[in-house]
Amino acid sequence: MAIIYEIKKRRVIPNWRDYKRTLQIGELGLHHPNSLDININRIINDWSTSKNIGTAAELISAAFISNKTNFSELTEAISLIKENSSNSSSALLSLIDSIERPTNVKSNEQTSKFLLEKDIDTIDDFQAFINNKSLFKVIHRTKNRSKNEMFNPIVWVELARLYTMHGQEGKAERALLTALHLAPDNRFVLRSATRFFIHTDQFEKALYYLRKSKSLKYDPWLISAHIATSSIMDRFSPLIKDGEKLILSNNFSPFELTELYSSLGTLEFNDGSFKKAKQLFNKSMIQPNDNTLAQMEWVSKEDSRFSFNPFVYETVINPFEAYALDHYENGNWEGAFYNCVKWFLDMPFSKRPILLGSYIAGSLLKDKNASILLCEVGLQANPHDPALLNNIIYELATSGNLDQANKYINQIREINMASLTNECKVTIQATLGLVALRNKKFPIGKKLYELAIENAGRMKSNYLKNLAIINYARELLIANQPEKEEYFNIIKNMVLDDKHKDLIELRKEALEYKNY
Amino acid sequence: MNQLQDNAANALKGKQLKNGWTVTKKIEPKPGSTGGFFSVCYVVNNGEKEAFLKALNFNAFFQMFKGKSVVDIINEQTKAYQFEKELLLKCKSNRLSKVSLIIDEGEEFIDGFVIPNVPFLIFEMADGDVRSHMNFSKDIDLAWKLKSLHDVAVGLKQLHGIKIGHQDLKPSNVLLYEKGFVSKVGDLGRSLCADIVAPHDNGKDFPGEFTYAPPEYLYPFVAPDWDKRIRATDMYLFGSLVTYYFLGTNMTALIGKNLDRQFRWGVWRGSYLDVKDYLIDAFYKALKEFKGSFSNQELANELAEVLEYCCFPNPEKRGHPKAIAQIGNQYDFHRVVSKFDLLARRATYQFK
Repeated sequence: MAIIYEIKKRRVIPNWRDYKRTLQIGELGLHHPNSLDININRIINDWSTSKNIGTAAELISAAFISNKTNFSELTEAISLIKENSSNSSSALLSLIDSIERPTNVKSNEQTSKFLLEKDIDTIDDFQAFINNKSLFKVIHRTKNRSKNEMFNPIVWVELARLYTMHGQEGKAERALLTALHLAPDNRFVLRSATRFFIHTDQFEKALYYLRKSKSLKYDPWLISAHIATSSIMDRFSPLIKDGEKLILSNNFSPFELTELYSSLGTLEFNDGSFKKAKQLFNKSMIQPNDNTLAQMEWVSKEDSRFSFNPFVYETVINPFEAYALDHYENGNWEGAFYNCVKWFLDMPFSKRPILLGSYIAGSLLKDKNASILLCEVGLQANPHDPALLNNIIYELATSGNLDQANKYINQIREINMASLTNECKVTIQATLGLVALRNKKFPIGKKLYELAIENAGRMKSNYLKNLAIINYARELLIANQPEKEEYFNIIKNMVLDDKHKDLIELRKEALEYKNY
Repeated sequence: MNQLQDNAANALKGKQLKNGWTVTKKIEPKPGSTGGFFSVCYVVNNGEKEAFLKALNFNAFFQMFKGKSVVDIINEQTKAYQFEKELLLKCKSNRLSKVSLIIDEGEEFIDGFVIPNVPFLIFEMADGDVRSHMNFSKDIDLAWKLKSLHDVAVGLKQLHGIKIGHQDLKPSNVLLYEKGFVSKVGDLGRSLCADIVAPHDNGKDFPGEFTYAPPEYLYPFVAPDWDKRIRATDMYLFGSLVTYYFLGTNMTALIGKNLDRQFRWGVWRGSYLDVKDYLIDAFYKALKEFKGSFSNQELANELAEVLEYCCFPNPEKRGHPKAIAQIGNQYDFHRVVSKFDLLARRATYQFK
């Protein structure tokens, strides 16, 4: 039985992208014009008195620094440099370009809705993207950069991210610790580190570095991360009050507060305070980012009183998670799958898009190859993840590739089962039952499936129980076992909730095996 | 009497000064020359050599600061003049070879004017400043540029040796002598000295020209330790001058160009400490761009190494890595002087 990735309680954990895209999304800025006025009269006067390459270059630098770029003397100076470009440097010509085209390029970039690690159109592109060789090259290049730019925390974070994408968590952590040592108060570093430590289940460390930062109390993006991380650990963040003060200070734009509003809203929602939660979520949606959009989507599926349509928020960059969840809930499997792939390309270490995407591809779109490919990709970054291992075993076994499946079964045996969630244990139990049945080890297979169904019942998870029964019924029909009629009738008469469109789809498929 | 006529500083031509100089010719201040708007410049001759006279022009101050108390203006400008004169005399008595020195100074009284006093300073006659010699294409004038930068580094080291921080080093303050063969640091008007209180030192603002200011001043951040701040600032200004010599842009512009717009001074609302790490990232990109402007990669790497420790955006981290480990010596110029001496000699040898 494949695992569908359902987060019981989603939190507003910071997303982790490369520096360039994080900048473009605008999560690092505090941008309101201030009153800095730089006098460049002396330099203009010097240029007017003596017009040569040296004074022209000086005037161009001064104009750029003072942001005074519209006066006749500057135009003359630029003309002189351009006319004598052989006596100029590429840096000076490039500075002129920056003056002449100050924000055009950037604003075009900013209006783009999709900012991916790499955009892809075909499955070949996707395979090329996950090709280890190209990732190795980028890692190698970034590693060299970190050696040359020893004191640049940004490069160390970039390196950590690449290592995380490659499943080298130890190296990633060392790189991040260097960045944290160099820049313990930097928002980009701290939010990246928080996401990494949560990704690797090191919640205490995430809180430790946030708490250590002098910026924490004054930065809504960091307070939000602290509240969300504390919430995962079932703790109350002592910074809730500080967050509320920042909101009341009127010093921040709605975009700068979106995650803080959303984190506070999530706390109220989990405490059952619908009214307060709704107010906070509404504020988080004044100018949302992809993270708060996904949070709102999740909340709206948890509680139908929150009606929500993520597609209305057209300006949000990289809204893939919210779109994937929404399409999935509405039975648009193709739309959901497409957005899962984009969601992964946005954060190529995250396993949630892989789990959901592989489930949709394998179980709902019947594209086993796509599902297996996604799982393989996910395992690169998360080689010991039980859910991913389970999913790939399921897909390989159901597509008849039992040898390959056995390879991953050996890996799953190395996992400490006691550390897994009950849902995960039940799912793995059922998947092992499936493999046994496909290997014609019927008694073991049946026993494992029956145990999984029983355990799901004990957990009072109807969804999981029904999922296990449907899968079991299908396998009995395929294997032509005596119990097939009994289970055929059970699933035929099974009452399924309309919102579980995936179960409805799976049952339909299983029933078709009646005359197999 | 019009404003020009009612100005004793404008009436020096043809005068025989008390200390033996004859004022031969009035000249327009050369670009960037000391005092700029507030001085009237002349060529003077004492029978042996020509020199450059800079007369303090009180009238210009009154025009510039209309509405301000006359007493305050005279008081401020007198203090500024006295300060510069004292620094120049200090340099002269210490025989600094790579600093543009004062030859003489004095004050003339010319009857018939509201303010008859004309304080003046007489300097060695320079050929101009480095900007007129500049060519920013690859590999042109390498030996000359390196030699000039060596002279400037020596000049700064000499100034630091007598506890003066220049604080306003820029292309217009690098003066050329002996047909451009020798460069000297000029204009101490905005300098700071540990022994003499500067009238313009308010403990927080950058004393020099803001378009050359190290990035920390633009946000604005002032390092608490006076001595370290002064030395770290000069070190940055020297590195920025190196960038100008080879690229035509100063380092602050180059960092700004590689810095995302949302972090730029004038846009960023947070503190210097909040933006520092992004400046460091932009600085490394600027260094990469600097290196890319050379065809001689060996030279590019050696210069970039100097720039890395001279212009690092965090003033606490400036200084040669080995010097940082030596207490009290972090911002010493001796390694810079040695490096440019070596580079200049090597370049001269290669092009012979």
